[in-house]
Amino acid sequence: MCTTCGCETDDVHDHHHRDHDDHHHDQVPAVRTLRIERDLLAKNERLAAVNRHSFAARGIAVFNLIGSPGAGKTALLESIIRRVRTHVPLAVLEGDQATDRDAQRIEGAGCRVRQINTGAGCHLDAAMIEAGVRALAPPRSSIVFVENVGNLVCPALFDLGELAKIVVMSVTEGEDKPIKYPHVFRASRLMVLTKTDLLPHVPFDADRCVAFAREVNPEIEVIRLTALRGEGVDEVCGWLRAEAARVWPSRRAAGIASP
Amino acid sequence: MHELALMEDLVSTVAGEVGEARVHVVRLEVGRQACASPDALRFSFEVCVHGTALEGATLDIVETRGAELRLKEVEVT
Repeated sequence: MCTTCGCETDDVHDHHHRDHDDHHHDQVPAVRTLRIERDLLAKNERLAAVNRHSFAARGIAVFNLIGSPGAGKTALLESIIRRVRTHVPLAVLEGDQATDRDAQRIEGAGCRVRQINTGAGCHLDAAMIEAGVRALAPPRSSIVFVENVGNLVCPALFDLGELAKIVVMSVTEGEDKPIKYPHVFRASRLMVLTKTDLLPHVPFDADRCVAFAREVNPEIEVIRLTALRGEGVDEVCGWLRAEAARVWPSRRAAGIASP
Repeated sequence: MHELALMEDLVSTVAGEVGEARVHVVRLEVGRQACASPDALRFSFEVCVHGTALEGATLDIVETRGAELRLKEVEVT
């Protein structure tokens, strides 16, 4: 029996008042259901796919740095810039809710930079990166770093068209952060564990933290770093070069990889 | 508050799909692993529909176990 009108049939049938179209009472128009079936992130993902294709075609390696406020993202960038700016053209897109303070630091380290202020926004999206990279106009065989808004949650969700996401966390945070904020650790190819010079002073078990990270992402690579003393910076630069070689024209990549 | 950005896109997508029709219900599928909170989505939806063709519509969220974040269907007249 039809549960809507009580008639005998089991077939699905509509219950529009077509049988009495000739007398108009103020009937409520029939509700129709339109199936749409669209991913909510579809627009950003389309733009990200266009970015990824366009960056690869132009030989630009884009890395998306994600971490909490204070994890050491800007300090990491400063030390990378000082190490490789004479060998590789670099540029940075700085995302913050407000101010251009980080952009000033990056500029002070000697790198082209463009600040993006998101206002109330908690993340960067693919459209912002497209506009930012267009404004920076990086040359072939270059690297563009995106320093995302300090936040472990939202940036994990928005593909920017980057070559790889890099999650940055410091030893002054909880070692269980990878399992508390699993999305970003799952989406990242590299975890940089910063401020390791503080390890003797803080109750932080680095091996346990790495184990937590591999619990959510068995493939994630880990580099331990002390930006202030420069330890681990070469290792990060080596990782970046190897990754960038995937989109750089091959002769350039070979030249950079063997100085 | 990335939910706000998601709902802004949703409102313009739905408005583009339904044309002149009046929207009563917007139905989403939101997975528990999806990195978006149903409460924040509802709140953002209310903010975003204000002054648009969707004003007065209800957001119906079907929670699932996976990582889905999909606009399924809309009910219109």
